[in-house]
Amino acid sequence: MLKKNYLILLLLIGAYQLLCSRAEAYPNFIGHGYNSCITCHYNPFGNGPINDYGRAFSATAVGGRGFYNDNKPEELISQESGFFFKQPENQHFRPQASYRGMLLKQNFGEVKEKTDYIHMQADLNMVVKYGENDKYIASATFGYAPVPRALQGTPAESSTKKYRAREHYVGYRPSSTWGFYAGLMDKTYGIRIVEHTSYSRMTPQLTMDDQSHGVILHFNTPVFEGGLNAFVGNLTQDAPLRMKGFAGTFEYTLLEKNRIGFSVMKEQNDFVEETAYAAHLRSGLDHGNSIIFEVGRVEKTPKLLESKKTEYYSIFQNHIRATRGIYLLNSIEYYKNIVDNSYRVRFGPSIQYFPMSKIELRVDLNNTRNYSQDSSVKDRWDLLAQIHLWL
Amino acid sequence: MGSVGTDSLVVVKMMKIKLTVLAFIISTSAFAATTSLDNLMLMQLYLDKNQLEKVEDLYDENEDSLGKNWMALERLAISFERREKFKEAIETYRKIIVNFNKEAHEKILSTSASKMDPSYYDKTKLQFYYYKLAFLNTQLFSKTNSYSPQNERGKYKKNAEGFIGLSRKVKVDEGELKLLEDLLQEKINNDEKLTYTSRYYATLDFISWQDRLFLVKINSGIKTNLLSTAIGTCIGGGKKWENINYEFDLEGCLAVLTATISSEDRAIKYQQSSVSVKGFVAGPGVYFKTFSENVLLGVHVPVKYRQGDWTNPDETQYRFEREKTFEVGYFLQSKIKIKNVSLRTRLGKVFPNPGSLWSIGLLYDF
Repeated sequence: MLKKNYLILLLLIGAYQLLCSRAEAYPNFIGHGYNSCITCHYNPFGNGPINDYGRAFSATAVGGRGFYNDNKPEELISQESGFFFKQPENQHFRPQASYRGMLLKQNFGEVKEKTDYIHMQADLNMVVKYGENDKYIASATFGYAPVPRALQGTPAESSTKKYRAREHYVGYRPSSTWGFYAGLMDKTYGIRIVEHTSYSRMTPQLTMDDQSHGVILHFNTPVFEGGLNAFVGNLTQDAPLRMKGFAGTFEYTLLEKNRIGFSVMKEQNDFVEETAYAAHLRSGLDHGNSIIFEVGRVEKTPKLLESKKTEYYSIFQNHIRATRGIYLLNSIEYYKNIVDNSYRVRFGPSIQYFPMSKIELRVDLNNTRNYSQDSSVKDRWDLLAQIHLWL
Repeated sequence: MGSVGTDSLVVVKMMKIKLTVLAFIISTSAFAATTSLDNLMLMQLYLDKNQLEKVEDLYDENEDSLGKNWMALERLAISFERREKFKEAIETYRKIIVNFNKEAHEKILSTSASKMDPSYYDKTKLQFYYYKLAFLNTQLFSKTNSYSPQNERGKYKKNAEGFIGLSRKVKVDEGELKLLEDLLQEKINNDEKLTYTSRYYATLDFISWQDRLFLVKINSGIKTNLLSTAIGTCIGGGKKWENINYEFDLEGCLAVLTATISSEDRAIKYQQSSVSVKGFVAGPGVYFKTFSENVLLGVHVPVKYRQGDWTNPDETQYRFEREKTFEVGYFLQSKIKIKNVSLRTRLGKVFPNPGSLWSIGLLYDF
């Protein structure tokens, strides 16, 4: 029975890995001088709803001006960045709605090319805040969760929940330096990049639905930022599947717009024990350009099988601001599984376009190459075209 | 008595004539003065209403009278300046200096800055004219480009610097002069940035490609597709020519890789790993500095040669095709510069290979 559950768990993990990116956090914006996620997000480590400042920043610095009248002042664009294009009328409630869809062409340009459209996200969120500098906050996000592709067309599809709470937590910040958070949140580990199918998020199992109930202690100064996270798993899951443990990530500021950091995570459930370490660098260059780099090691030890698995991953990503509203990205990823001595490298040039406030369009071309001693396999090309709308 | 009476009459007549002439002269002069003053006021009115062309028209119609009036010339110069007819404005200010301030101007020219006495110029408007001439020449110099004749660019720059010096001599506000000097320097710097400079650089890349060769059965001529995936390093260097907008380069590197090769179809089973592959990649490239001086995007045309230690399963029955090949392709490349070191990523393709060609590397500028 336990073996069966373990296989289901592996199947679910694999299925989520097949889903594609959902952009939520933009650590690349260190290139704009924003070292810490909390400047623009309610969650101190990014992801989830953005605060009033983040909305204004996305409208007036990230979003393009091409669809606005030349004479329209930035102040007005900023004011329209609120929910339903309105300036917030009260201090305490901040609703948000968000949609992401993606056209995915697997094996792009090949005979076996397959095209799908995936509704990746359709979320409603409400943030309630109170006190000076949003001292008390509560955030809840509920939304559509697509059925993992591996489960589509199987008997498990009908029993798979299509809606879920992605996060719900309360937070208390007695000062700008300290914050305490409790609830369902993403784990504090590594660079929380937007591409949740990157090896840096899949390998340590930190993809779009891997949030966990727990508590986070956040410490933030201009020089140092860190977070400690103790978690007990997602309480909506069956108890044996819940990953319990702790995670922590720490960053040190170097030369104003550069951050070096490391992360650690140790977690386990009834079937597997996982230990992950990572080191990373985020570096802001001139004119809104940036690079990020992360390298990590993950050990997965099944409790029921004798098959310890050690994996290595790394990601390098440059984020080039072509003009206001348009960014060019190039992601280079590496993944190695020590067991079969094979490894993969994925090159992914992308264009990210924010034509105006509340709209993001993005096209990625992924070229994945396998390196194995056993055979030479033809490169795989995937084309991803995404739309992201939010209110 | 009679002659006396006649003489008296003549004298009286003469006096009348003289008085008439005098009255005519006085009235004519007064009329001319009135007309000149009216025109001057009209010029000022046109300036105030920003009807700048009318200032010049009025001056042209009354050049004989207005040309002798420094106030009219000053208004004409201002109208030229506002219409960005800087050369005409300069000429007009020069005319004012030569015709109305020559003595003071020559005295200033012949006196060193340390011995300059404000009494030489405080009853003139030379401070204003010198500053204007410095400003106008700076404007002209700033508007020159690569199509401007070299002697003209040099003349404007020299004149601007000269009048900034004269302005400083007569104690024009230092802040205003510093601003002009900054404008001049900015233009000089920009001109220098447009000039191409060359440098040598070294490269160290991780490089990978996927290419195809064929195992041909000698008897039948039947071909089996073999796919090779190679990864390794490429060490080399190049020379680049760059200015503020573009960077052109010509480079090459020697590649040492290892490859896994296997058959793509099942007609024959061929597999070999850790095959030594050697070659070189060379070619020209260009980067555009459109987005930033330190983040460059561009294209490169690689010419690739490679040969591998492929093992022939049976030399009596098989031969390789494309065992050694020259190929040409393209790279899309980005480069991030941090002082002398650059981080470069390139993704492209060489034809007719099925897979991509990519590299990640470091460059060092000498």
